[in-house]
Amino acid sequence: MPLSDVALTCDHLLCVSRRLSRQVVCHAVATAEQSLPFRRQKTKGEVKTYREWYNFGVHDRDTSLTSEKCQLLVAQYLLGQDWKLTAPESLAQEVWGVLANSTVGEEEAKDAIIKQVWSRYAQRLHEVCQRADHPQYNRGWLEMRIWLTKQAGRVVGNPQTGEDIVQETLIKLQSIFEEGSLRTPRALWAFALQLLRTTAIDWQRGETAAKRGSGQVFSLEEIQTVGQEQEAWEERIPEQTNKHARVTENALVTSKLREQLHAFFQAHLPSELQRQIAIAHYIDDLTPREIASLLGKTPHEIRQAKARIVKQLRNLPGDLRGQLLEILDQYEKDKGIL
Amino acid sequence: MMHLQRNHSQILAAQIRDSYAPLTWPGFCIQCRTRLPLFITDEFLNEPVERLYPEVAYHLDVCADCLKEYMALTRLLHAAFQGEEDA
Repeated sequence: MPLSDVALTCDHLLCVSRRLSRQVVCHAVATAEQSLPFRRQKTKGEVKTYREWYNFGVHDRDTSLTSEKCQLLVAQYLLGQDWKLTAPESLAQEVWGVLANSTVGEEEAKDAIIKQVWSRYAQRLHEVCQRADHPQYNRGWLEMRIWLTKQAGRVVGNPQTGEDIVQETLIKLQSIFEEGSLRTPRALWAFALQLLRTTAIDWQRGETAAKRGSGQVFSLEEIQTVGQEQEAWEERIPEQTNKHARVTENALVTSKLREQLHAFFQAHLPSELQRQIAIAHYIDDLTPREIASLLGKTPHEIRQAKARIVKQLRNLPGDLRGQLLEILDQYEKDKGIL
Repeated sequence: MMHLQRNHSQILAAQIRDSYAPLTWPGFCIQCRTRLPLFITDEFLNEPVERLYPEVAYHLDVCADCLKEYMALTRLLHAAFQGEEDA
């Protein structure tokens, strides 16, 4: 098959990746490229989506992450986002300076690269948007508007409403920047999302009040974000859980108090996953991030489960709470911390 | 609050006793939400947020409203991170 046909096939497969799992697409692309004597290189302009960017290099024969590959990844990501406030080379150099000595695998390194890009570009954007006399001031606000408009689609369903909310959010942001109130620019994205969400909720409440005043029947619905998961995920125990249970149990020091704490959680927490998380967090002292990586969850899911655990334990009858506190206090003395 | 720099079982005992009552008062919600973008960003960047922002971590364990806000913002940030693919 001519190289150009393979390239077209790969492009087509990548374009339909929205409807196929990543594994299926990667396998198909790898199969198509098997007979190629050298790597197929996409030009800068061809990489448009995050998934294309992320899959870049997956089929490379050389899987080590180098500064050149880092530079290419950074450049392609900036191109995909249409972010032009900083030269890709200088940003890539900064990112490589942080990640050069890391020991993570290539896939994790790509995630780490993009997180660094996000953090540093946020600071650049904040710097540019703060001063009206900055030569890139208009470009900065344009990029902010484009980014917020994309996110507004996840917060509100109506595009017209989304535009109004984005406009109001931008006005608030501009005021905040002029006051110099945002002291940690690396948090700009999360801050802007919070402002967008708050503006959307306020707008929704205003609409509700107006409709109630007009006598219309209207049920107030909370603004939901796309992809909000049901609570039932907590009941699905992933395969790693049982593996972790065996590792945890094997690692436990044969301390009577640890066994008591373990038994208390087993007896008074309603779900197996809550029990696993309680053991990992309160006995083995793992953080939500560490537990998440063991259980194949995200840190915020673990944090949500942890809050349920705390609520469950705080709501126990007085005698059981007392029993738990006694075990915890004695456990700390046993560890020599108190 | 340096006294919050403790291990997790000690913090659990404090939460059951409600030892750090100001962190469970509704008034702390405003402080928590002000710090949430930074907390979420640093968690996203794999920073040790329990150590950096112990009051926020403590409050998220005991305040359902702030936890809900945290979950919503985190999901939005992760969705934004994924890019056009999930739009």
